[in-house]
Amino acid sequence: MIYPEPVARLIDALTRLPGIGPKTAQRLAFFILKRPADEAQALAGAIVAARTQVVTCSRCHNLTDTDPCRLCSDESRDRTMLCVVQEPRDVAAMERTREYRGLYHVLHGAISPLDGVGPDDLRVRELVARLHDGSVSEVILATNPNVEGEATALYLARLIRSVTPAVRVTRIARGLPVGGDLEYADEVTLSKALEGRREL
Amino acid sequence: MRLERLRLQAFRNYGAVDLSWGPAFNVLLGPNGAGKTNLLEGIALLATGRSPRAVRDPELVQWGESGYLVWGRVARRAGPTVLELRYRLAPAEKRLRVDGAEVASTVAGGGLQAVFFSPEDLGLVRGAPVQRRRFADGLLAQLSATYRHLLLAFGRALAQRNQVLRELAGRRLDAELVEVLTAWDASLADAAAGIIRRRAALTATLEARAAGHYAGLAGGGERLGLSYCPAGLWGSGAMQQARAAPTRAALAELAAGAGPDAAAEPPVLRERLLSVLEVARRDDIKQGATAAGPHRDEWRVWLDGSDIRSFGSRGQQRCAALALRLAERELLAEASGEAPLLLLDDVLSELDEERRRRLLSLAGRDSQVFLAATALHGQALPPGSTVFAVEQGRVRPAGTEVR
Ligand SMILES: [Zn+2]
Repeated sequence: MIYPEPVARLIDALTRLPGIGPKTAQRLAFFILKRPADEAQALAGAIVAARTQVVTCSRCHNLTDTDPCRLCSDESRDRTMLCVVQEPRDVAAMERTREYRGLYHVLHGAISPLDGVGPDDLRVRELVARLHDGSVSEVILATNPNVEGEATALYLARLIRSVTPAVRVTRIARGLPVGGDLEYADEVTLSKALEGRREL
Repeated sequence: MRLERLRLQAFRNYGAVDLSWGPAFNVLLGPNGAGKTNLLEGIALLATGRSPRAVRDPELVQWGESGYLVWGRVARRAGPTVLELRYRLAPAEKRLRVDGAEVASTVAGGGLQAVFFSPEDLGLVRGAPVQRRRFADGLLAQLSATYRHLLLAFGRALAQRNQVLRELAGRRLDAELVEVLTAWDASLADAAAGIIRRRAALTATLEARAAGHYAGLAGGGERLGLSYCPAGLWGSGAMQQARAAPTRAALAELAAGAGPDAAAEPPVLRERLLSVLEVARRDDIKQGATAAGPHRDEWRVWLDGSDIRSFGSRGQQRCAALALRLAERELLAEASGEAPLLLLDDVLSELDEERRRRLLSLAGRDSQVFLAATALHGQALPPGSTVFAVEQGRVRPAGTEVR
């Protein structure tokens, strides 16, 4: 089907978004066109504002509108603990627990040779630089519990031990969801939890 | 368990077919190439998520179509279940829905279990190692979600490691890339240790069961044996010798010096795997591929301790393959508490009358059976059998056998 040029451009732009196929892009485009003009204006404005006002924090590399970010400049946070995560959304997930009071470091990905992603493409050098002043005593590796996340954690653990041996390196445990019955836990989670068992 | 209804769309030579099956013995009669095996393949696909003929999904799509659908209604002791497996060619996507809800893995995720018997099963005994690996993996994947997870993780880690090896081959020793390789070694060893232990445990049970079935089928006094050779623990040198070991005793001697017991604790296996990877590292970089690991495992099949490939007759080899399938059926039935479906693809013609009778009496005990044949060779069918005539992608109920 042939659309007027501006519509075709909108559809094309939407297709570039992750998880959006041509059909969904068409649906979204025609939805936007049917709504009042000021709604489209507001959407466009929100996209531009987010893109121009949000930067990455020069310390933790999380997304922020102030540099350093609110977490990094919060004096009440424990500066001896550093939690390493893959993505900004993982910081949000950790924060929702309200349990962790240390600082973060966002890698922006995981090592994946098949996707052409090596340590140089992640914020690894920046992580090592943060450890050199000696203020951090423990690094918690909280990369994803999949193959790439595990390999990234293994890589970082070896690297940190070789450059700053005094820093303790830990890996978050993979375990059972709390409040769930053992009998309903899926087999994979259960066997991982069993593997990570500890002495009481 | 029973498959009550099966629908196929754009699958192999079927544009659209909707079939209601009999609860016990279903017979598909028709000439070669009519599409009998395709029906059995569709059922197996619904059970295991992959084709028993080791064919990739694009080849299962009917010519000119954009994807296939395999839909089935299954009656299990816990109640009825509807399974829907959809494959789309471009962009490639495969989804399994169980009662309308999508499940994470399309491999054996729906609770339907089936054992596929085919004339090519002779390859389980005579063929390349990959055929025995596929058999063991298929069975373990139907038995355990953890194993399915391990296989996926291993495959991914292997592909990632091989990519690093290829990158290292092109340049001078790059210290950082070597560190990346080390991280993938560890990740690979993690998944491999879990796979090896489970394959070792399966081998022991499988051997005991298959030996029993072999005695029942072949009638003679020979004993069927099965040995597991874990390439990741033994390294490629010892594996080469293991593949050539003429007798079970010779292999046992070799195994004693080749590495730890494959049933050892994961940390022991992991350590051994890492040292095997370390030794092979230079060669691996040269080859751009990982030489040792579960992807190179082998099983040896024995008859009274001698290699069945060289010392067994064709008939003995065929009985051994059938015995392995019957053992598979038994293990699945024990795990789920229900008899799996039996898909018998043209296996009767290969057997003499006595063995045919034994197989059918074993098969028909409490399983729902789907038997594909060009002719019945005078074989009497169990009472209540449902017969279908298959011709050129059309399936027509041909009545119920009352004899
Ligand atoms: Zn920050």
